[in-house]
Amino acid sequence: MNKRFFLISLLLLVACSNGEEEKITQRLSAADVLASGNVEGFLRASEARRFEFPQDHAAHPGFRNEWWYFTGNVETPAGRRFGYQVTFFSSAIRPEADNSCLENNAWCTNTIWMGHAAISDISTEKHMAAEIFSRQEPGLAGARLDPFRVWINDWQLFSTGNDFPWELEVITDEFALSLSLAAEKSPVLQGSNGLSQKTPEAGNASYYYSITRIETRGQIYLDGQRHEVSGTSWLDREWSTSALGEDQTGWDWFSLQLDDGKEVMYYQLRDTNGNAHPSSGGNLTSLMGTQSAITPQQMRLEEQAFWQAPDGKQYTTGWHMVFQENDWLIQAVFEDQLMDVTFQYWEGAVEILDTSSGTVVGRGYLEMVR
Amino acid sequence: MNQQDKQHNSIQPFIRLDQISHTYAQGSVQHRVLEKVSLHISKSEKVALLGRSGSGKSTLLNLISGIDLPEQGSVTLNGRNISALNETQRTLFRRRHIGFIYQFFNLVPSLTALENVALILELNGMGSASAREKSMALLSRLKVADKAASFPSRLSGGEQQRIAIARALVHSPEIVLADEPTGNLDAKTGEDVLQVLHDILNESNSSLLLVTHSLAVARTASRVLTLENGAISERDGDFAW
Amino acid sequence: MVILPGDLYECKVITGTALLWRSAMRYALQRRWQTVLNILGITVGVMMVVAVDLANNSAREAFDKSLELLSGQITHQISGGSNGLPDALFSRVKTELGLQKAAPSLRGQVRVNGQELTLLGIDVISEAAMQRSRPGLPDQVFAVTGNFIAAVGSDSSVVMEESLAQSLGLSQGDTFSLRTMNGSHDAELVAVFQSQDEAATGNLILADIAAAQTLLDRPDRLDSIDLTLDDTAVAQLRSWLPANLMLVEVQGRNDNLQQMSEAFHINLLAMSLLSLLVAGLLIYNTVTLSIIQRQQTLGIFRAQGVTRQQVFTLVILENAALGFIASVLGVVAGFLLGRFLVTMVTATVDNLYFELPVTTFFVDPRVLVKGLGLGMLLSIASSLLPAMRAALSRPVTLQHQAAVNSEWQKRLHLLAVPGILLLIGGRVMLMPEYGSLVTGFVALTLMVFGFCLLVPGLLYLLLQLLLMISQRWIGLSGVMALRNASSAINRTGLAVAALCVAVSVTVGVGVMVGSFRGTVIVWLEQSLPGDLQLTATSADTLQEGFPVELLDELARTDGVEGLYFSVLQDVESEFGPLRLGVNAIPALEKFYLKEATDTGLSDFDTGQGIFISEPLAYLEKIELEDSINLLTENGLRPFTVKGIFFDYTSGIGMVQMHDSLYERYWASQAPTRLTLEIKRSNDEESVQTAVREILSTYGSGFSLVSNRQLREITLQIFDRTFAITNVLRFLAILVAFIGVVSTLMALQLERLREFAILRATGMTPWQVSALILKQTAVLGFCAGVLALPLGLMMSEVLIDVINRRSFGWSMQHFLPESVLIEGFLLALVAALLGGVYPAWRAAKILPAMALREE
Repeated sequence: MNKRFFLISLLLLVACSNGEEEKITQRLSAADVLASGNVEGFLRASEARRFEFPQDHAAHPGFRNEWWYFTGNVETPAGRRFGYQVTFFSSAIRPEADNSCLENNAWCTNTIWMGHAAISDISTEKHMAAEIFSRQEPGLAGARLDPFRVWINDWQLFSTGNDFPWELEVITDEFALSLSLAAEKSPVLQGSNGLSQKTPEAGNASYYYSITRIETRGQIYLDGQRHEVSGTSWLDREWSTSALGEDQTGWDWFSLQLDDGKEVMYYQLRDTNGNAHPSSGGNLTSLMGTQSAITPQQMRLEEQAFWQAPDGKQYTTGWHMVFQENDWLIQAVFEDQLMDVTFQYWEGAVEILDTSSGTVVGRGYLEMVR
Repeated sequence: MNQQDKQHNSIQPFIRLDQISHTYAQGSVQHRVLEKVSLHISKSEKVALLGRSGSGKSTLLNLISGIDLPEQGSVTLNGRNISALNETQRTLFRRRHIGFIYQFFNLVPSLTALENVALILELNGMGSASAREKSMALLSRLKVADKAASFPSRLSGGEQQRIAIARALVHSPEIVLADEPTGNLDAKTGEDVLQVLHDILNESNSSLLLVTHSLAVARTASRVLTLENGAISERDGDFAW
Repeated sequence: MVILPGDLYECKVITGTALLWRSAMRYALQRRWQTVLNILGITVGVMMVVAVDLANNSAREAFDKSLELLSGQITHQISGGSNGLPDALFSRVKTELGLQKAAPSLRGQVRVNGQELTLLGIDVISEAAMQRSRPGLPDQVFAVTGNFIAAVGSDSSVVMEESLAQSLGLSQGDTFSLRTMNGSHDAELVAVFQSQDEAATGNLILADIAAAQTLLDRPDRLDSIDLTLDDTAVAQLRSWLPANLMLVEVQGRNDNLQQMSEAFHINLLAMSLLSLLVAGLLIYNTVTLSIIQRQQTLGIFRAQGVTRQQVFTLVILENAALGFIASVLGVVAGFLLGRFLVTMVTATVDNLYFELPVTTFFVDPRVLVKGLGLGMLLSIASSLLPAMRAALSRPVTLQHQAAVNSEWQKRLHLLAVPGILLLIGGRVMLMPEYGSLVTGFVALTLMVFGFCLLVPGLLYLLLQLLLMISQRWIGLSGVMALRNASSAINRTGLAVAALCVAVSVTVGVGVMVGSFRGTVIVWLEQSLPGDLQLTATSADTLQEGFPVELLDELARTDGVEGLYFSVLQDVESEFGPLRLGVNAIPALEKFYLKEATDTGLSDFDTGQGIFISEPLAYLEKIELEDSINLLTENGLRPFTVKGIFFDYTSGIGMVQMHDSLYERYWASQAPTRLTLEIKRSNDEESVQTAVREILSTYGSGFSLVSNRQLREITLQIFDRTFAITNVLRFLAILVAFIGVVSTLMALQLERLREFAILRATGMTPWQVSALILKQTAVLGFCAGVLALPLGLMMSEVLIDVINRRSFGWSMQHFLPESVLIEGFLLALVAALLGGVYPAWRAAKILPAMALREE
């Protein structure tokens, strides 16, 4: 629920620091931004709502932030494996665009978009990341339903109709990907029926759903070579007008796809001491799509291996996860999967190993914000 | 030359210095050069003033010509008190009534011999043509007519001094002041020049005050005074011309 | 005499010649006025060079920064001429082509609280992707204080630098009125930022594209799309781009623009160097004079065993010391003056080439060092000859002055021969029609120098002539004045030459500017057809053109004889952007033609070809019947040049074509201008009032200007453009003035003894003063007389060669008498002033001096 939230907050900070003269350095720590953010005038996720699909795949104006967040593990027929991430973030500068402005001027907009894309080339242990920024208008970025299209300049997610299958196309200087996505399960409503509470404060929550298993097929272009790939992706959709609590400084977020057909989402907020914050939680999706919550009390997470980023921040690349009947080792496929973009974080492909046998029982993605 | 008939006028001396005292400043040092000096020179009298270098002879000439004013005492020329005149009046007086002859000739280098002589006539308001005519006549008299068109730098010392004499006399001054007129000439030339000066002066009615340190030159005058330690004394002896 | 390295040990003896130094110093102190004037002469010369250099550099810097600010650090620009391009193209470039490094730009001039500012519309988000830094703006757009982002997508929010906001009396959150050509809008200052470079951002209002379009009344338009492209992207974009748009390579265009304005900078530099030449002549002159004055002292030194090397070194070092003091002062003064000049230089660049949003005073320390070095070098170089002369002093106690003088007069022809050779050489260098600007200036300098060498001889002849003519009726004191002037040529010759050069600069430049102005007036009369110009100014009227009813009404107005549509816009071409003028008035009535083909006029009227402006033809070497490519709505198309017309509006070229031709290639453009012809019999004022009345019922989207007003405005701009020239003229004169005063003063003071004799002889103080003034007046008169031919020669070169090579303008020759009279009076007054102090001194001189010992 709180995942990736800070990225958007950064944009907002820039928008809302109310003329303070201090310069914001290019690389900000999450802590600097968590408490800020003007929420006045925006819609808030204060109560449960009815989710409707495919309508909810499109944008939800009125909320400050929204994102479409894809992660996935794919491989070539020859077994060369890749992890990928593509995200479309949107963030509103103002609660709503001034109508008189909109009528007169195509450039009037209240929304700024940011895209992140990354590929983890597991065989070479090379991680590549790219970002893109754009204002929404005039037609530079957006998310609409019919036909379904989410785009930032030439990065786009689209469909010929308004529902799956979707096409995801991203071209960056270093790599490109073109993937066809077909949902294998229905959307999973996270939190409490899709209302994901961030702090006890009312309204400080998001609407959050995931599609936890998406069949993926397409091409990855790298170093002038085209790789036919297939595999599984995960989509997180979240919209909100919320802020982190003052005692929250970062988080760990897991999206795990088990070979037996289960999926696990679990996040743990970190407090100022680096310990797990009470507002953590997760969800288990069964093969058939039934869901059950995972509470912090049920979850035991141990940090086992670490990697230090060039900026000195330490990320945990090896975890021991124990909950219910599951006892897994979660390991980064390689250490340096740092998103080296304007706002840095670690986001990378992981393997899930059964602790006792040491066999791989699934794959997934791990996000760490420090 | 128009006053040829007036020979002597002993009743009223033409030049009269009464109780003159004067200090000459050189830098910060003050030299008392004249101390209560009195001197009378009659019309057409030829007086020589003997004195060592620095005895105040030149100062005396400056006072007589109205170039300087005495600190104490009075200078009376032809009955007029010089001290009572302003600078311009004194200048006008000088150019009408006084002629100057200098040791170093002091001809104006950018004027020809003739023009140097004619200058004072023009200054006194005479027309250019008649000034030249009159000057030319005088140059002929001084036997330097052939040098009339020459610039001073082309002339010998003797020639320059003849021109200077012509300049001093051309406007028929009542008095001629000569400051070592032969001081810069060799003996022979000096004698010649002096001879010419006296010849012409004798024809005119002008007085002469001849300042020199040479006894020989002084003897050419009818009366010899000496200036010593700031005071003038009459010198004995008969210096008949 | 040359100092060989082996002789250098002699120089060490300087320590043992403290008394020599003391003598030199006392000399300088005794003649402190002269010393002060000498120093001042060099000071002003150095000041001028430094100031012009600084102003030039600052203007160049402003130019660079402006380009950097507006189009910096990009490789290409999509440009669509004066109407810009449709903004939808930008979205297509980003979404269809996926060009990340693309940013839109729209700018215009606005007025806030009476201050003229540039409004720059950008998209900060695209800017971030461009990763370009613009001078003064924080490197990362995101690093700007928060509300910068708040300006995105709002149509009234603007951002500016803090100190600009202060000077406008605004603080964050204020709403203020912002005026454009077409009206005014309310804008809100949503954020201020602190600039790293106030010069770059001090005249800048930043806004989002949305706000810029609204505030500037240019909906749906962009000026350009800025791009950073690699070669494959260039090829891709070229093939994709609509034909009526052009992908411009930015560096080449900026270089072009810069080269054009460089000609202007060279002109200023040359003028400042010319004044340094004047200063050099004067230094040479005064040093020579001081050597002559000290000839006797130096002779005594020599007699007592001072070596030649020591004398030489003494003179050189003495002048180096003076030069140093003067240069330091000059650099300081130049710095101060430069501050003032830079605004004028920038104004000229604005008028001629490119509206600079940036004004800056850029101090390159190298300029200061250069000024210092130049002043020192000049002092030393100018004293070399006199120092040699001093070193050659014979060890005797008395030098006869007359001998020196006559020796000089005999040598006058030795100067005249090389002088004539230089004059001829310079003239020959000017021959080739397309020679370079620098050669032009070198030739001019040679000619000026050659003339200088002729001046002493000419002065001598002139004085002799005057003497011959006037001898009879000027009296002896007049004769004396002429003879004195003539005998002192060895001392005054170069001072007169310097005065001559300085005065001739004023005359030359004055005649040039006068001719230029005269030409512009004639040109304005002939090339502004009709009597009233009606222009669409609002967004609506620009789009829609003139309503039919309005045209009807105007045509029916009493006194209106004819109505002609016209267009004035920028058009892209193979040579960069050009002005394009269009209307249906017959060519015969509206052009001030330089040349045309036999059928040129009818070809023009039937749309068979175009006319181009003279600067364009000259600078791009385009001839009749050549074709040039213009970017039409259908892409680049060739047009045949049928005529070349005079044009003085801009340093950038202009193209004219007939309405019928324009319609073929720019079908979608509505005419935005209307020219009204008034019947001869009617009063222009009353017709204008009637037209205004009609217009008042059609809203505020039109502006009416009479051609008479236009002519006035044009001339005002012209005068502003040449303001800098007048300052430089004045300074050149100042240098000469100081030098001449100093020289004449020294010369006359030297003669005080002679004046004492005259005083003793019976001249009144006033007569002596008058004599001195007559003498200096004669010199001034001669300098004035000699300056006129030199000035006219200079103006010919400036008009026919320098201006042509700099700007491609050819002009008629006008001879403004006032300039000649002014120049002449200037010389006379300068010389008279040089006599004032000596005259005053001489009047107070005691005739007793004549009797003192030699």
